[in-house]
Amino acid sequence: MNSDEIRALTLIDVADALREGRLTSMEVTRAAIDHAEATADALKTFVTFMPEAALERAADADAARARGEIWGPLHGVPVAFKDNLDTAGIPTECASPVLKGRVPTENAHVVDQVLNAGAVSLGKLNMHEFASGGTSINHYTGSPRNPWAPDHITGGSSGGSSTAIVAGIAYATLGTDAGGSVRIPAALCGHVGLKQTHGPVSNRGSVFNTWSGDHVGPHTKTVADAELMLKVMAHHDPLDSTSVEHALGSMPLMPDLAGVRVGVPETFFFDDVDTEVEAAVRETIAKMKAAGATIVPFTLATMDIMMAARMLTGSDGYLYHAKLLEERGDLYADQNLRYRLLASQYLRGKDYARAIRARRLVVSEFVSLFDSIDVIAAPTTPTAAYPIAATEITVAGKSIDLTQPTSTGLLARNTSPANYTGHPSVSIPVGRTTKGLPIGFMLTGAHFDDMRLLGIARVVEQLVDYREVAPWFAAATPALAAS
Amino acid sequence: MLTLEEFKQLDALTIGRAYPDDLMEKILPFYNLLRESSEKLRTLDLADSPPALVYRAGSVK
Repeated sequence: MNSDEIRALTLIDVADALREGRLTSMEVTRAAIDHAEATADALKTFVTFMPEAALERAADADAARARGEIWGPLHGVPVAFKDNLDTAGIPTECASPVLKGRVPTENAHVVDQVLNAGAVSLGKLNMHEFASGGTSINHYTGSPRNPWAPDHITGGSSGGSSTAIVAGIAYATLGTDAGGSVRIPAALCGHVGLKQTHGPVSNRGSVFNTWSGDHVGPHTKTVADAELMLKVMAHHDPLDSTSVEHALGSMPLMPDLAGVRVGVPETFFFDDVDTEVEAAVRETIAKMKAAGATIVPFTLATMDIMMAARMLTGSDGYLYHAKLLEERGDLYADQNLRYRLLASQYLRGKDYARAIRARRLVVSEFVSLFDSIDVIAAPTTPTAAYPIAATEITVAGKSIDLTQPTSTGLLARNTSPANYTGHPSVSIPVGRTTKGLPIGFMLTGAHFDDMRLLGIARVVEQLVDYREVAPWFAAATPALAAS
Repeated sequence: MLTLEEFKQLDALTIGRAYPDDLMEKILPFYNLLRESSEKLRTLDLADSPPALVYRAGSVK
């Protein structure tokens, strides 16, 4: 198997090959490192790249296997972590000059879970500064690039986490998702991104932009890979007050969608969606129906409340930044982030309290909705990736000025409700635009029904031709081959 | 929505940061977004809605 073939393997396949001795971790890790180095300038995937440490760990993994030791389900598999997840002794700077030189002394709880499962870390991944936006445009680190079109955004905030997957550098990466930051880049780059139910995966050691709805989630090539990562990541953490001890079980292997009730929103999620995106999503819903699903149209009355209240509850990120803003506010690469955080100081306590109370209304409506449906189907984002240099784009015939503060929520509009309510939500690629850019399809399930959600997503995945929609099927994307 | 002068008055009456005008001007659009969202929520009757921060299995209905 040559290095291109090795890199095109899924997480499940490479883990099996390593466990069975058909590949060595040194072979797999070397292939990953070589490609990461070859594409470093074109993709800007990493902010801290650690090839020597990775090769050392790979050698240890191979030696362990030779002794009959298997560390865990990720034994010898190259992975990487978003730069806002603490890694002991390794810079964790949230891709911001504000945190330059910050080196944690402990791993994030979830990083420990992945490493204890035997993974080989390649390093820390590029991202939107402080995970505070949906594009990953970063004037400090240099924006990570969409492998389908390197002059286009990856989406964010976990842009490097997606680049590493679709370019075939890592087999799984961790991102964080406070408003869609795993699912948005997964949609725009063409792979699977999961935000599980709030609680089963610890948030301790993740540098939050906001405490309201942040999650650490996996970026993978396939739904089955996402299930494996979720099983590895989900461990109760008594030191995280939001951690929930809950056995998620395993993904059901469903032959079709008979008996599955698919909720299709009549408002909000399909409002102002790009024509090609909407067509691909509705075509996928039709395929679900043909596979036996029952389509259930629905409306939600609380979405306006959600959008307003979420903006207010998100202001709690100021608490983390208060001292940084005072001491080195000028250093924020994105000064609009600084201004947004400073504005949070003026939010009145009673308005914040009202937003917390409004949250219950929204959550209750979502929970009740899942009495009559199993999943919500919707576009992950209203549009596909757009050029990094764009200052204005047109979506569904409407011009959007990307320089205005109101534009920051564009890509997160459909993903953020699940952060606000804590429901599990996954994005899978289902098509490409005429420009060849991936289109994401989002399924959202009931609380703690993550495995059934993944089971349904896996069936949908099989209804879609990944050779057409997922760049990782090719050893190198056309755009990269030409660069 | 507040003007710059009104925003400066609000600052003086509340947290008193007294940032330079050019910085206040940059913060203002973001404050106005928060203010707009706050006003939307003020129209709701939330007396019977307890706060919800963390969602645990079976605790949200």
